[in-house]
Amino acid sequence: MTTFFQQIVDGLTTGVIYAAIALSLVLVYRTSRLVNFAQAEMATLGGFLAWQLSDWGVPFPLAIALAVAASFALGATMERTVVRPLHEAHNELALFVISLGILVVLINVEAWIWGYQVKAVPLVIDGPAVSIGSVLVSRQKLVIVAVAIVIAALLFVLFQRTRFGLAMRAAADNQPSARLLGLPVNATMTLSWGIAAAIGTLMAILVAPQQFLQPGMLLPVLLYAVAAATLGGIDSPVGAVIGGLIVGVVENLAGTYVPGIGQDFKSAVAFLIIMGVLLVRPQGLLGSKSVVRV
Amino acid sequence: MSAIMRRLRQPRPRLPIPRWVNLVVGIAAFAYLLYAPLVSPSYSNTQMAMVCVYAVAGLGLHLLTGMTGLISLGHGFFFAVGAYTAAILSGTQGWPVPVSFVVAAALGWLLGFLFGLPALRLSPLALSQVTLALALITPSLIKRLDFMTNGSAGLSVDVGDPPAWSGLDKDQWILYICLLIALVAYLVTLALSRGRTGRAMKGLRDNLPVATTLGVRATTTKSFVFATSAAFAAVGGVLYTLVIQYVGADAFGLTFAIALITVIVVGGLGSVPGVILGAVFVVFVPSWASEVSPSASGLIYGVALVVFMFVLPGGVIGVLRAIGHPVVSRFHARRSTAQPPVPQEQEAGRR
Amino acid sequence: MTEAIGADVHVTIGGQPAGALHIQDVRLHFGGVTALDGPSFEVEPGEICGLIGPNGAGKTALFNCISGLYRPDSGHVLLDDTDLLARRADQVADIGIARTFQNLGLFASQSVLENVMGGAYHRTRSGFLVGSLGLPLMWREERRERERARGILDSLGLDHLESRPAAGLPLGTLKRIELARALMVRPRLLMLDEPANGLILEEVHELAGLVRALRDEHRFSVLLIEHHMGMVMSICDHLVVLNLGRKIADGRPGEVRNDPAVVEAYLGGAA
Ligand SMILES: Nc1ncnc2c1ncn2[C@@H]1O[C@H](COP(=O)(O)OP(=O)(O)OP(=O)(O)O)[C@@H](O)[C@H]1O
Ligand SMILES: [Mg+2]
Repeated sequence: MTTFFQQIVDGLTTGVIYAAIALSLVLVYRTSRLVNFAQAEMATLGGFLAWQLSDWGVPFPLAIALAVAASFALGATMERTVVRPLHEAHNELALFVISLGILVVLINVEAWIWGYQVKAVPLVIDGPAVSIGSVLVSRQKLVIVAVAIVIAALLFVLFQRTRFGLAMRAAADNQPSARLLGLPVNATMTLSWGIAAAIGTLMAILVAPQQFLQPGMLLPVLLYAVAAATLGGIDSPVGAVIGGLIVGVVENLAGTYVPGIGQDFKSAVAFLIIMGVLLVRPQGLLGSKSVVRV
Repeated sequence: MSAIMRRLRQPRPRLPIPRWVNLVVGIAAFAYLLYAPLVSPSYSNTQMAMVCVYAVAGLGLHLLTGMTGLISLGHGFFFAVGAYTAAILSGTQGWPVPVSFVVAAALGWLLGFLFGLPALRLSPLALSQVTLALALITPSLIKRLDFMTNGSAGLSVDVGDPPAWSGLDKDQWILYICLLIALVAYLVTLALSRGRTGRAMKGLRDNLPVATTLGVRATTTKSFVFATSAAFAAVGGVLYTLVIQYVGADAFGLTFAIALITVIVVGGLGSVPGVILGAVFVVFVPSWASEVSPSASGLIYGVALVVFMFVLPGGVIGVLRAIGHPVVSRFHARRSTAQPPVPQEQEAGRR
Repeated sequence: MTEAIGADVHVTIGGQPAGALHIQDVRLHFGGVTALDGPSFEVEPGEICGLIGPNGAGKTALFNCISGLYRPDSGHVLLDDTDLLARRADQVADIGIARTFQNLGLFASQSVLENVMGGAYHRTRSGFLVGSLGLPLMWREERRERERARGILDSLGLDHLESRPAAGLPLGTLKRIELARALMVRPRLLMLDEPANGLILEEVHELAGLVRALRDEHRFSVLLIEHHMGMVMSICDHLVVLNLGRKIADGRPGEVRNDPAVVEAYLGGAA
């Protein structure tokens, strides 16, 4: 029974990471109608930046802040330069191919600069694991959970309580009408990309000590994040969070308890979740149904 | 600046090259390809054979992505099916290579059809998600099936030895096999792309509801396209095993899928000859780049995808058409009266 | 109620009689929006029936129900005795229904000739196997339909454009190409969704004459959505007026024009 609870808690703490990347995917999808497969790699690049800065002697908290800011700028720039024209031309195929291209570029640029030697990223908090009842959780994971909760809360306030959030929601629902209403649609698109990249980077830095910082570090996470976003509904931020937690737990339990899956074939769970959800309920738990107009 | 961009991005139709020119060029190229393996060093024969491997698999992806507008990142799986079929049937079991081709094509088609049944009910976007998952689990799936595939160690094989009567070296013999298969695949793709089926595929890509009202049954057509393109990938996989004489789990994941997408993007999405140019690109250019740095060869794929999709969506073929257009039209002008010019205004097919 | 001119005409095209369209109590809603609220009417074989009404009346939605792109919640749609609602959208071309689209339904990347040949898809047979092997059947069909498509382009004065990509041609030309493709289907019922939209007055007159001449030549039935009243009044044998998904008038053009409900709907719509 203890292992069972331990598995659940482990699943939840991993799920938080999936949820964060899924959230990034959803933010970008809502404004640009693109599932950005480069999202996770942009986060890894942010992880490298933080490591590089701290390696140069910048204090770690400052290094984190700078890396997050740089990622924000990178995400926003990408939207402005490459994504926007193709989005406006409704060229989804081109947009998708370019996101793949960016993924490949990022991996290889990282490899060129930093190599495949794993970089040691410091923990933000050290010390023995905390025990909650019979369940053990490392301190770093508690920090990750706390950061994720703060991010979720901030996004909630941004979406629900500010005029800008209103514009973002309107732009996600119906871009032409939002434009007609004079809402700053373009700014929300840029901002979404920036926020998505910043969230990813923050998570990448926090998981780097455990995931081993090297090019492609978060590619496996990308798969689970796509599964999470699909499960929650590709255009629903709340869905992404819930989906991430569910995927984390299911994956962990399946890896332990389902015969034939085992630790190294857990990715099959993600595949089955994606396939299953898209067949049974393509819009996911909380997503909106897409309508085709003729 | 943006005027230049617009000219670069402008889609260009196929050049009206006279039939006999195409035929003469085709026959000359064919004659050269028959002769070249006999006088080339073995490494360059192997490279040429790899071009054929990518071309065959790329022709399949051309049908799916270039013609029908559906993305698959999962074609590494079907390629692996073919590669392992050849390694196990012809390598381990010692059956003749033609049997491997037939079994791989059939198996690839069937698995593609089965995978496509649920997957193609989805939007193109959702299809990319499902096939991403397929790409990422393919290596672990292969390792999982280690009783057949020998897991991470892979299978070294010795297949495709030339028959004694031919007097050829192994690399020459295998290149001839590759050329033959690539030629067949090319002609099949050409016939499929230009006839009634091709119009149906392009119709589904350009405007699915309209194509439906004309009688195209979207689900069936997409399933057949997916299955056919999976069969092409599987046949490409058989060639791969012949050329490399080894199969290992890690060759068939996301990286391979992206290389395949590079093949069709660089050549020019939707162009059949473009696939060949794309295949030449992915075999030769990264290996030149790797002399600079090992990461440079990977970087080339990424940069090519971004640059071609953003700046030159017509690919290399589009550039050739832009260059060739003045020449061909002058040729035509001399032979026939010029066509009346048509004013340019409206965009067709707005949705 | 329906008094169509030419209702007794039962001439055939390609061996098929012109179709009678029977719409009965069709209802369709999207979430809270009622797009169609039970209109019923008949289109007699060989007549040109105008379908008019203010924006958002449900005209295009009704077209989409007939061509199977939308599934009505209830009601009946028949062409002669064929229940269209029991067919999939890809089967209606075979029954003899062809249409054009309000926002143009051409395939931008294909040439004009390819676009028109698309209209023959439903009656040609070469599929994947025949197509990939390049069997003679395929080339025979291709040649036959290409000649037919050229004939139609020729009759519409578009033959010099056949190898041009559809993208980049002027709107009036594109509308003609779309019409050519619909003719290629060899329709028993031709449905046109705002064919005059975006055309200059001269072109509208030309189009009106063309539609009438084509009907006279091929004897198909026509269902025409059009806001251009001049065109509607000049060529329609019969008019149906929709407003907010409901039929508010049905009869000869002259009668309908003076119907108080119609005047009200148009003025109300304009206000
Ligand atoms: N796919 C859809 N999803 C949601 N609502 C729809 C859809 N299609 C049509 N509607 C709604 O149904 C109603 C009827 O629309 P329709 O397009 O049939 O109008 P119309 O008579 O063709 O108008 P117009 O003259 O402007 O073309 C409108 O309120 C429209 O918003
Ligand atoms: Mg309409």
